[in-house]
Amino acid sequence: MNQDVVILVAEDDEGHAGLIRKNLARAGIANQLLHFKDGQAIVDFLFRYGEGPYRQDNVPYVLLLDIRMPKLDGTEVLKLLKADKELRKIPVIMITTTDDPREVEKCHAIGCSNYITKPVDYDAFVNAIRQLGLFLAVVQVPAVHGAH
Amino acid sequence: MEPVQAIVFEQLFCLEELQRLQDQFAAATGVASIITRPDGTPITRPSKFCRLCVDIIRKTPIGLANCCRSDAQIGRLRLDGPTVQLCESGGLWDAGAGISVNGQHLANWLIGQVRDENHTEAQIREYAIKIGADEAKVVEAFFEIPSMSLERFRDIASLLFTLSSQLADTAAKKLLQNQLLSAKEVAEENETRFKALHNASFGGISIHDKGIILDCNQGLAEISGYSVEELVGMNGLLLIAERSRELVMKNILSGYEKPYEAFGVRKNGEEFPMRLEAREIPYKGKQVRTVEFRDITEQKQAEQIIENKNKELEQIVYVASHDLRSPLVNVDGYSREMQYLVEELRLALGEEQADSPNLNAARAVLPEMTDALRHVRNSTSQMDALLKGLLRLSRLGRAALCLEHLNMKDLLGRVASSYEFQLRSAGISIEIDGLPDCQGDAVQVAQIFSNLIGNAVKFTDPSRPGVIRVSGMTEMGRSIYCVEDNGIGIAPEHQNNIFELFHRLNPADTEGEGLGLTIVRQVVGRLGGDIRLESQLGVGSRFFVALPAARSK
Repeated sequence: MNQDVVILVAEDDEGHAGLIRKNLARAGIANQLLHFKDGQAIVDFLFRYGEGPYRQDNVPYVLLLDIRMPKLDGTEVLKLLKADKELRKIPVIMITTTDDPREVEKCHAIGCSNYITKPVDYDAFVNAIRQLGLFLAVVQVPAVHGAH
Repeated sequence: MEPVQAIVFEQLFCLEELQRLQDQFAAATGVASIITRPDGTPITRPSKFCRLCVDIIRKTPIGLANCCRSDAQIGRLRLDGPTVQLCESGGLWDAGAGISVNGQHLANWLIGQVRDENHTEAQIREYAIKIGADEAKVVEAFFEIPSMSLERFRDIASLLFTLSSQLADTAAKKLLQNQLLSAKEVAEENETRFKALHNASFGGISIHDKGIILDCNQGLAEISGYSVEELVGMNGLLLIAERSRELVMKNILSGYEKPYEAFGVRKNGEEFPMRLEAREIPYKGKQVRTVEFRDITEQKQAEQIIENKNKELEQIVYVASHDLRSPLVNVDGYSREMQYLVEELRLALGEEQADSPNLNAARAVLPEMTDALRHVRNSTSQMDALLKGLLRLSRLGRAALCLEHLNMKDLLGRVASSYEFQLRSAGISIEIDGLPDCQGDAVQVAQIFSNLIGNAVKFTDPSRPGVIRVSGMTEMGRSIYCVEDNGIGIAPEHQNNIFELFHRLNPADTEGEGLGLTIVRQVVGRLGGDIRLESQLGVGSRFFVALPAARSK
C-alpha cells in the first residue's frame, strides 16, 4: 500500500484501537494512523464539520470502522459516506465484535469493502489484523478530491 | 316407537272414591258388586255380597271352582255392552263390564248375585246336593238374595257398562294429561338445561342460514354488544370487521369447519380479534351453520406481551454478549501483549545469574507473571466461549423457520458424516435405521441431531466400544426419534437439569460451554415438538425427540 495512504480508525474502545495499531505495525503496515473515538468524530473529520482537524484533499484514506459506537454508530457513518459522491470512494473496512450475519449483510449492502470480526482470542485477532495488513498492502486506494 | 308402558290402575283411580261409587251403586240397585283385576284378584272390597255365595257355595271346593270359572267368563272384555249371564255356579244372574284404558284391560266391574222369578227352590236344592252343601242353609240364604226381573237386571248392567266406560274414559284423559305434563316437564327441563349450557358457554354461539342469524346465545350478545333480540334475524356478517368479511364469506361458502382467526366488530364499532369455528348442522329441517365466536383479545394481548418479553430478552442476551465481548478483546489482547513484554524482559535480564540481588529478584517473578497471564487468558477464552454460546442461543430464537418436509434418513446421514472423523478415531459405530420423515426446518433439525450425536460421541464409556443408534417411529401424528448410546449415562438426579443453560456435568473432563442440550430443547420447542430422556448411569442414554410428522402428500 502506498505509504501516503492514511489509515483512519473509528473505534470507541481505546484498547482495541491500541491493539489494532500494534498489530498492524507487527504486520508491517507503517502508514500514518489517525484514531477517532466515536462516529461523530470521524464524520466531522471527513465532512469537515466542527472545529477540525479535517481531512485533506488529494490524500488517500482507508477507514477502519467499528459498528457499536456512541453518538453515531458505524452503520450510520457508512451510510453517510456512501451517500457522498467523493467520500464513497474511501474503502471502508468494518472491524467489530459483531459477527451477526444480519449485521454483516447490512454493511455489505450499504457498501463496505470488507468486514472483519474482532475475535476475543488474541491469536485470531492478530491473524485478522494481519489479513487486514495484507489487504491494505495490495489495495489501490483512490485519493479523495475537493469539496463534496 | 317407545315400548308401551304398563298402566297402573291405582295411579289412575282413587281407590277410596271408587269404593264409595261401588258401594253407592250396589245400594241403589240392590245388586252385589266388586271390582277385580282381569285375573279375578279383587281391587275393591265387595259390596252387598250375599251369604249364599260368600259363606256357603264358595266354601265348598266344587262351588268355588265353578264360581271362579264363571267370574272369568263375565270378565271377558266387550266393547259394545255389558256381559250378562247366569252364573255357572249357583245359577244367579251376573254381569260385568271391563275397564280398559288405551287398549289395556285394567279391571272388571262385576255385579250380580240376583235371582229372577224363574229360579226355583228345587233348582237351588239340587245344586246344594251337587256341591255337597247343607240344603237347609242354602235355601235359607237363597231367599235372602234379592229377586228382580231379568229386564231390570239388564238395565242395571247397561248402567254399569256406561259408568265403567265413563270411568275408563276419564282415566284415559287423565293418563294423557299426565303424559303431556311429564313430556312438558322433560321438554322444559331440556330447554332449561340447553339454555343454561348455551349461555354458560364461554363464547358466543349462533345458528345462521346464509348469514342470517336464526338463534344465538347470551354469550354472543355479550361479545357483540347487541342484545339477543337484536341479533336474531340480523345478518351475521355485520359482526365481522370489514377486513375479515371476505375470509369469513369464503369459509361459509366452502363449509370450512376448522377453527380460524378473524376480526370481529362490536355494536360500538370496536374491532377485536376472535376465533371462529363453525359446523354444518341440521336445524328445523334444513342444513344451517352453527358458529362459535370466541373473543381472543386477552389471549392476543398476552401473546403480545410474551412476544415483547422474548424479544427484550433476546435483545438483552444479544447486546450483553456483544458488549461483554468487547472488553474481553482488551483483556486477552493486552494479556498477550504482557506475555510479549515478559518474554522481552526475560531476554533482557539474560540467563546468567547477575551479581545484583535486584536483578535476581526481578528474574524470579517472571515465571509467576507468566503463570498469572496464562490464568487470565484461560479465563477469557472460557468466557468468550460462554458468550458465543449465548449469542448462538439468541440467534436460534430469532432465526426464521422454514418448515418443510424433511427426509430424515438423508438428514441424519449428513449429520453422521460430519462426525465421521471423530467416530472413526474414537472407534464408535453408528447405526441409523427406520427413520420416518417429519415436518421441520432443515438447519435446525440438523442442529438437534448434531448436538445429540455430538454428546453421544463426547460421553462414551472408555471401558467398551461406543455404539450410537438412531431409530424412529410414527405415533399419533408425530415422528419420534430415539438417539441411543451406550455411554456413561446420566444419574437420575441430573436428568432434570441437563437441559438448563450452561449446565455441565463434568466440566473438568469434557469441553463445551454447556449449551448443547439447551439449544436442542429450544429448537425442538420452536418446531412444535418435545424431548425426553431415559438414562441409566453406567449403561447409556436415550434421547427421544418428537417432531410433527410429515404431512401426507
